[in-house]
Amino acid sequence: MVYGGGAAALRAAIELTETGCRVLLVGPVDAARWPSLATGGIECADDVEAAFLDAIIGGDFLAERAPVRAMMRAAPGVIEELVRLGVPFARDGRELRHRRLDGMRSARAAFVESRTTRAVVDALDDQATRLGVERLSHHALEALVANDQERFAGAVVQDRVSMRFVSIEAHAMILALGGAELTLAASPTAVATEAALAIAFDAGATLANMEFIQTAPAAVWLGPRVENSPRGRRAIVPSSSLIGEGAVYWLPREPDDVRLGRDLPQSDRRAFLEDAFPGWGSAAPHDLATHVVRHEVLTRGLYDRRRDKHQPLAYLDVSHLPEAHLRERAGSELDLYRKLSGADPYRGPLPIHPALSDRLGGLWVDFDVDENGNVREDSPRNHATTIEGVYACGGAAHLYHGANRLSGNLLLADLFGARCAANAVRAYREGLSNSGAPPCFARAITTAEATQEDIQRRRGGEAPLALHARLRELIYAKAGFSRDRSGLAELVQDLDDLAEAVGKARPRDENETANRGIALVRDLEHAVLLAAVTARCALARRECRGVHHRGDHDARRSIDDEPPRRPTPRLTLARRDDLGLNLADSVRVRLFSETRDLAATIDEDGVTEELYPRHYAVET
Amino acid sequence: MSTRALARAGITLRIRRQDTRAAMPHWEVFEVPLAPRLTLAEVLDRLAFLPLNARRERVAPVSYTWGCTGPGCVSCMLIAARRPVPACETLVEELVAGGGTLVLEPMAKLGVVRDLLVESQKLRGARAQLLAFTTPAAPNDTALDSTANAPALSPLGLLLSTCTRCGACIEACPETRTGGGFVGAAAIVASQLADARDLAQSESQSALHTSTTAHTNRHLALAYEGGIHECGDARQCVAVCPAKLPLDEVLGRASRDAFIATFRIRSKP
Repeated sequence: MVYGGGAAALRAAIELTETGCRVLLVGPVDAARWPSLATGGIECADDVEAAFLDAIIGGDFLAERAPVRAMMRAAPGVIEELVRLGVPFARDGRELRHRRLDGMRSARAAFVESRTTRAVVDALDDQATRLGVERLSHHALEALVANDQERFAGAVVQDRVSMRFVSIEAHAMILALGGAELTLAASPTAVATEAALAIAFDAGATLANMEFIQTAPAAVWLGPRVENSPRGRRAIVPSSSLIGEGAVYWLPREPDDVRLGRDLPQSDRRAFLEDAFPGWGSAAPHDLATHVVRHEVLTRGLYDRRRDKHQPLAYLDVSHLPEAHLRERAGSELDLYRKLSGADPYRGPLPIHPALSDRLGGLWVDFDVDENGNVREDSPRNHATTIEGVYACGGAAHLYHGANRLSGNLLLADLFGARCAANAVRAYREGLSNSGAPPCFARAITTAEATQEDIQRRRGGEAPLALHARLRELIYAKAGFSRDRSGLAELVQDLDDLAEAVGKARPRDENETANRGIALVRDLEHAVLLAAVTARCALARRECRGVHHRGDHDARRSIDDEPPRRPTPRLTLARRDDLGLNLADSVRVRLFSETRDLAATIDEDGVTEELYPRHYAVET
Repeated sequence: MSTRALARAGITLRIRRQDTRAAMPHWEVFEVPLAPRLTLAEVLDRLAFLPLNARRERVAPVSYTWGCTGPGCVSCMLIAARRPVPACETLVEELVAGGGTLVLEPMAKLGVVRDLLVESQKLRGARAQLLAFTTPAAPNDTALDSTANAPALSPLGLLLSTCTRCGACIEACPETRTGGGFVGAAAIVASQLADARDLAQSESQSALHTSTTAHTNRHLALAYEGGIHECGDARQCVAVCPAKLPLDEVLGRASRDAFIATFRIRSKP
């Protein structure tokens, strides 16, 4: 059983089907109508060492090295496979064209205009159809069911149309979806919920590095907030295509300049990211870039006084490039921004502000390393969570991105991880001698039905959409770009209150079919739980690392300071503990015991912060 | 129009609603205030937040989907003012200039689940019927250097690969029906894209690739029930395609391919 719907889920299902396993692809929505997170390209890793180094440094030294190395070695194969499936990568004659995405020291990413993800998902979807992969769309995970040997033996899923519960018996399960769109995305109907993570967490799985929420230096500003709308910010996070084409971030040299962005001559523009990271410019890793953009926006940002007094903005500009070139490389994206934002990206700059994108951490997954430090590809331990028989890949696993994701590695990690997880599942199933007694679904179904009836019977609670908006605002305000101890402590309290409110929330919908209200209440319960985990993990990690910025532990104030010589926890692990009285207390967070002094010692790979400093060049 | 005038104006939404798959559709009218540059999806969001109809009665919220993570995600397709459009990429101002009534309907031919929510299986079913997928060659020994020597799609193939599979062509077509009927232009686009992909592969491989049989089978599939002969040449798909694909050319080629394939089979001894 594969749960998900994006590139990772499809890839895992294809791999399993091709090797003769029976697969059921279950997803809360249909795969083809739910693209994975948009990205500007895929790392080709023609130079494995350079790609490895960039990934480790980009991830602020927290990515697991053995799997990242294995991924980079496999990258040319992944690209080759996609080419064979007919993904129309951009070419120069017969050679693939490359673009330089964030965190890359050279241009190494293959791309399809600005719709790389979409093209890959479509090609995989066709293959899944060709192989006859069985699908169960519009079904959301409700509970994991174990057999008498404490092994995963099946799952209860809910048909989100008829609202009935269905049991599925399976040897193993791959969770292949992640993100945190319910928590972070603008839309209340956003479907890529993280409920599956919370359900696995409830069932005893360990979550890792949940404090990291990927930031995006730029989200295209579409206009001021709208009254009476559950939608908060009106902005779209663009794929990294624009950065790959050499977009420039800039602000007027004089903060009080009243001229329109497109009328400003070059001499009056200040490319602040290029100043902060010479040589990198907009291709700086997203965590560093966001930090600088946010600082600039808050101190010297522009306000569209006529339309929105509250949102300071900066400019992202590609208009120095010829229009024909832009149309060829990012036309579909730019056309959309022109239409929705009213600013013409072909002729002038786009107004942007930093935003939160999705969750980096996920279920803790294992990997098996041999004595030479290489990943054993046939091991059933790869991508295994702490629940036997449950595997995770894609956005649900923590392995590849460390404390910050390079956008070129997003799809690569999804596809490579999916293949690893599928191979591991096959090895696991072959190793199963005795599958044990059939699981008992009746209890899980009864519990699920009772919960649903309870939600339906509620009277007088708050509307789930309002609570959803509140959760998002809380995360933005207190666990967003910069966190500190008091803010996070408050957040833990606030989330407790929110959990209580969600426990009473009444779905404003009596219809039996496709009841989004009930679904939203259930998803919100899970989202609040994960937000509490995020808060607790963020409290535990008392340092600035990658996208996790602690204002009260900002040791690296300026570029001249020495990096702090303090052991860095490699992982923050969170487990559910039933003894806790309230939500936050029921989450146990542990810093992984094997801490390594990354700054002081040269470890086995020779990649250390001292050799490759990543400074925050601005003061906050 | 100024911001204030827009907000005052507001628009009237007439939405075709349906409670369940089998229920009879009915119409409901809503009044929504307008803001500048508001998309249809945002308007539906506000309706979900405050589901009051024009008579200020609380009604069941209108179901719709919107899973947008960027351009090209077509989960929010619906019919606005008789035209299939993606709700998150369509500005309300474009459809009704300064007040007026906007009619919203689901993409009914895909199968309504509830209100504006529709199934998405039909498109995939149509593609499967036409065998519209490439069969990748097994990785060979030259795999390592072949990204450099990789097959490139033909110009038409490249163009067809921009199809977002939104289903607008199926919805607009007078010959498609909820069950059966013409498969629709989207599936034929996918079929020709698969042809282009196969062709690119066989060019890059020195050994003869199996694509010729796949080709013939795919072209024969075009001649079976629901195939290209059911296309009534109404050309509605050409008018509505958001990707502006040359669908008339695609349909013309499909008819030719189907004819040649059937002729070849018949003329075999």
